[in-house]
Amino acid sequence: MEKHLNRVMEEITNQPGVYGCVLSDHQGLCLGAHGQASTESSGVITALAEQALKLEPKSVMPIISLENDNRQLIIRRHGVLTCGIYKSVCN
Amino acid sequence: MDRKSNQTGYLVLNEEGAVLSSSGELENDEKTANVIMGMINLTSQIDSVAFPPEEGFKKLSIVYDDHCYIVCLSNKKVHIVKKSIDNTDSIPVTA
Amino acid sequence: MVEEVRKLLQDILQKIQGLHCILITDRDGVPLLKVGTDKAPENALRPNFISTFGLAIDQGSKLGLGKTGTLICSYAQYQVIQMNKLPLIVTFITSDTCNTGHILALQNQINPIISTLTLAVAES
Repeated sequence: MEKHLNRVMEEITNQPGVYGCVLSDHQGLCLGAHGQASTESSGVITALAEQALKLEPKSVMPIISLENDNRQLIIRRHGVLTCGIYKSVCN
Repeated sequence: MDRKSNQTGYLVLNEEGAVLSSSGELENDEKTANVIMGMINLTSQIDSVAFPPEEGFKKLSIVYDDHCYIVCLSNKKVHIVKKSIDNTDSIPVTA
Repeated sequence: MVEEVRKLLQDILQKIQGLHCILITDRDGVPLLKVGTDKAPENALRPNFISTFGLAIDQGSKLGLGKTGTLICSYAQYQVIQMNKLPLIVTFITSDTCNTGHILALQNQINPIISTLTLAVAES
């Protein structure tokens, strides 16, 4: 059943620089995690997306990005799905 | 804070989220300040496997189609800049 | 110590939207610590409601999947999320729309509190 989802997550993780991704539903429950990402982070990622939605409720869902010197986390919500992608960056 | 190109407003908050200074579209925008403080509070709980907690975050950006918010923590203050995105400019985040 | 724990729980309560109440009880549902808003339904705070968790996890362990860790009950307007920290039980009462995953992720944050409380309970 989740074969397709796993394939998508694998595809994401195979992108250059990406070392993990996590997908969660509207309740923050984990649908899947791939690579170096834990299933527990799904709740926080959904919470961040929900919080960002409050910033401009009328606009479309923004892309959230958290960065430090080596890593980046990109969060995007699409309907009831929230996706978090962990990436390593080199400046 | 000097005026950067495309900047449409900024906010400076203290650690508790109180507005210290502001200008432009974000002038005295406490609602934005609260939402962003809420997001900063959440970042401390992010995945300890993928993001070692000792590294922390330096920059938070929230990107819309034609504008974005960029948040930085510096000197125990939270700096928030709202920018419009020029399509000729490089977009900070692509997904 | 209790005051510190209470403050921490109060912080959690404010940060999560839709979270009505956090309750730490013993296995009989007798409250040790409670922080919450008045939105929490009275019935769900009663010891006889909370202690059914003990029975439920006993049944859960019969599935052959090992020890039951958490139990999520969703109702029309509420969710009740309980965590097995025996001899203690941690109960979260939230609205139906609350971020369940976020509550589950709190586990790492509350584990240190629970271990200190467990020690205190064992001593008395």
